[in-house]
Amino acid sequence: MADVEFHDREIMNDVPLEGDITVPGLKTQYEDQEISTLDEPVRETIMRDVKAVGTKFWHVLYPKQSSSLLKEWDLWGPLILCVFLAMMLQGSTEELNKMRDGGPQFAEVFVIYWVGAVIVTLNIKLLGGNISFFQSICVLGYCVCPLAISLIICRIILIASQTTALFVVRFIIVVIAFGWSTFASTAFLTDCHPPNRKALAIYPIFLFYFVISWLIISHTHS
Amino acid sequence: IFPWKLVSAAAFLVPERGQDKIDIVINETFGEVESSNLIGKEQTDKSDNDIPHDNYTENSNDVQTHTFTKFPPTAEDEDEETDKSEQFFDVETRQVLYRIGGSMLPLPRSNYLKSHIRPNPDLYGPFWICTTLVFTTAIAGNLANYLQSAGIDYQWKYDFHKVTFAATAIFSYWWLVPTAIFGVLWWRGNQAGYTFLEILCVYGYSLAIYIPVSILWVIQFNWFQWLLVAVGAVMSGLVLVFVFWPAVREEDKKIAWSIIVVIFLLHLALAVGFKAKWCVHCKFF
Repeated sequence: MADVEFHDREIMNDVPLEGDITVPGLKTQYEDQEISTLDEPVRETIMRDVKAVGTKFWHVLYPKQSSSLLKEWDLWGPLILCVFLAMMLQGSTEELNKMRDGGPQFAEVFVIYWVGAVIVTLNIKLLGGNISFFQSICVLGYCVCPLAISLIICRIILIASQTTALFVVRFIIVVIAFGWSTFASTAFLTDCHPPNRKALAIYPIFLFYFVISWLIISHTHS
Repeated sequence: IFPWKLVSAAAFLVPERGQDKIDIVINETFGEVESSNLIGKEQTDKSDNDIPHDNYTENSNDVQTHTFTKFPPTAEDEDEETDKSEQFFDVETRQVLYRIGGSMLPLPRSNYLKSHIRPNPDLYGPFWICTTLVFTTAIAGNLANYLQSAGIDYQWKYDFHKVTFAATAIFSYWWLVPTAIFGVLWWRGNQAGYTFLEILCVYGYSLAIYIPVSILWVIQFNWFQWLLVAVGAVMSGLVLVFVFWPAVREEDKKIAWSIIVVIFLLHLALAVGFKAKWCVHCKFF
């Protein structure tokens, strides 16, 4: 039977009771990063987030590496894209007075975007996909980026006077962007679905980007 | 052939989901086969509650039949209770496609609900069919306006609020009519055994035919568009009629016929309503 030893209180305070489970060699670097985020200038904090958002946009446009978008999700990118889309697509107020303006209002685009993303995410989860809620919204939101670029291009084309040929050009650009968005998002989300339900999970994503594409192609205000 | 040979090939009986008995028929004479060799009772720590109940019979030709019931709960049973809402989405791709196909082809002898929907009615198909229909009818309505006014140098102002109108109409139809039918059947004490979820599911899938109909509305011939409406409504309306006729057959003749006629007319009214609302040149609306 071992004897029970009693320690003095001061000694107990010196005994380290917590620490990190890290490789000893990297320990000092990790500790430095941990401490310094409080003291760093605001610009650095902002730039780090901006860089993260920018990297994600890059990965959407060139969907080779499928894991980084999912590992650290953030909703900045989707918010930026949504606000941009809503501002560009809303009907203008002066024409509201002249004729019945049928374009979506800012709030309607907002609602379609976020409610659409939530419904598609719920669908993925109900079909048994193993991805977290916000990761899925993050992926769906970021993959609208090609469509936003096509909106910019269409707006530029709309500056010229419209002919059927220009309409066809706009149509083709939006179709390409739609295909790019759908392909990118299925590339990111492909591992999460059970194999016999892949088409069931991908179809709502297709419908979501189709609706956004329709909003873009039918936007003819200049 | 000795009893020990059977023991070495003993199976551990685990029932499939929803299966509550397993029959083992042994028709050679091994002498008496102990049920313990069939259910793997080597683990000595099993209590009596864990052992399936063996009902053993032997007929004159030395054929033994062991019927095992009362299996202990397995790990699979626990998974079933984790997410109740997932049961509404428990379908596979080919099942959904099969159900959509069946909703468009009325066959007089078969009941769509019994052959396609049971045993697992789902909400995935109906919900996404309705959503798709909302957008295809809204887009078709906008395209119709544009194409009909194209000759007048009309700057296309699309009406986004068609989407909200279409969504309200379609989702109301999808939920309110099944509620009414279920209410009527329940009020009459109907014994057909159609659950609310099954009726909801059938109605959702019956709207599937209107999706290609609304896409084909792009073709700008008025008679062709009305023909599409008629064909679509009749085909899927008949599927609905064949589903509900066996249920109301035992009712009073007048009530049965009025229910069937109302179901068919409402289905037709939905398509006619959309066509009429977005038909710029219609003379009678």
